[in-house]
Amino acid sequence: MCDERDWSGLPIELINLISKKLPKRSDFVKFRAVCKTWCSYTPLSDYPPQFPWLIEHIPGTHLVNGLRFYSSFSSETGTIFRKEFNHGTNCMRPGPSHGTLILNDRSISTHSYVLFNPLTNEEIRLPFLHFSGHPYLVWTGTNSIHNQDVIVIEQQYFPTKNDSLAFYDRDNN
Amino acid sequence: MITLTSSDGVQFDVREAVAKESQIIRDMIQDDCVITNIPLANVNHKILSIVLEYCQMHVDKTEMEVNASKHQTTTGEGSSSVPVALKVSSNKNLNDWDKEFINVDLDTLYDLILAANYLNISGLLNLTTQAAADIIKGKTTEEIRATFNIKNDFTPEEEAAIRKENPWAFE
Repeated sequence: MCDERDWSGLPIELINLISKKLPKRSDFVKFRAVCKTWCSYTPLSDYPPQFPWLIEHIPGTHLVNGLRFYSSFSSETGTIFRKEFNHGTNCMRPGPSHGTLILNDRSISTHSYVLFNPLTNEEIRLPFLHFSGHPYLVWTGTNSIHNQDVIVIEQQYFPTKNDSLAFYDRDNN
Repeated sequence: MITLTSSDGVQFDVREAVAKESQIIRDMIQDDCVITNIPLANVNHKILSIVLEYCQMHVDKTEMEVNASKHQTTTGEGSSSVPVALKVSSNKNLNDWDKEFINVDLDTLYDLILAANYLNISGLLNLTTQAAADIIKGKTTEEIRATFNIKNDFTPEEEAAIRKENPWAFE
C-alpha cells in the first residue's frame, strides 16, 4: 500500500500548473532541472514574467568586466562576466523586450553587436551594423505576417536627426 | 441526493450541490437530469472522502453567505457594508480551513491533485498545485528530487547544458 507516487509521471498540464505557481526565477529554473519530463514540459518560453532587474556595472580586469543584476521583486542577485562588458555601460542598452541586452563587441569590431539575455544566457550574434549613434533595441518577437522571429533595432543620432531602424530576421539572417 | 461510487466500490451519498462542485459531475447532471448514481473510476474511497470533505465545506460556506445576504435584504437594514465584512471574515476562515485541510502527506497530495484534475474542481486543483509549488520553493534541485523521490535521468552533459542556460540559479 505504501508505494511512493511517481511525481515525474504527472500529466503535462499539471506539471505546467505547478511550474506557473513558481514566480521566482530561481525556483522555476531549479524545477526544470529535476528530470527530463519536467524539463520538457516547462519550456524556457514559459518563464515566469519578471519585474525589471536593476543592473550594476562591476569593473573587473582589462579582459572581462561584470554586470550584477538585482531583482527588487524577489531580492535575487546574479553576476555575469563577459568581455563585451569592458566598454562601459554606454555600450549596453537594455531593450524593452524579454530583458535582452544589446552589447557592442569591440574585441571583434565596433560594428559587431550581440543580443544577450542574462536570464537565459541566450545570445544572438548580429551581422555587422554600421551605426554611428547608439543602437537601441526596440523589439524582439514574432512577426505576425510571416510568423518568424524578427528583431528591430533603432539607431539614435544626437541631436535628433532622422533615426533609422534595422530589421533582423533570425531565420534568414 | 446523488450517489458517488469510488473506484474500490464504496458509495457516498451527497447533496447535489456538493457533487456539483465538480465540473464533470455538473455537466453530467445537466445532460441527464435523472442521473442519481455516478461511478468514479479513477478515485478510491480514501481520496474521494477527502475531496467530498472539501466540497462540503465550500458549499456550506457559500450557502451561509447567501443566506446572510438574503437575511440582510429581507430585513432591509442599512448599508451593504455588513455583508462585505461578513464575506471577508468568512473568506479568511475558509482560507485558514483550506490551509489546514491541505496539510497532508505527499502521496495523498499527489492523489488529490489527480482527483481534482479528473473531477475538474478548480478550487481544489488550485489549492493542491499551490501546495506542491510551496513545497518546491526555496529548495535546490537535489532537494526537490529527494523530496518527491524522483530519479535524476539526465546525462551529465545534459545536466551541464541546463545549468549553463541559467548560471545564476545554481550559484
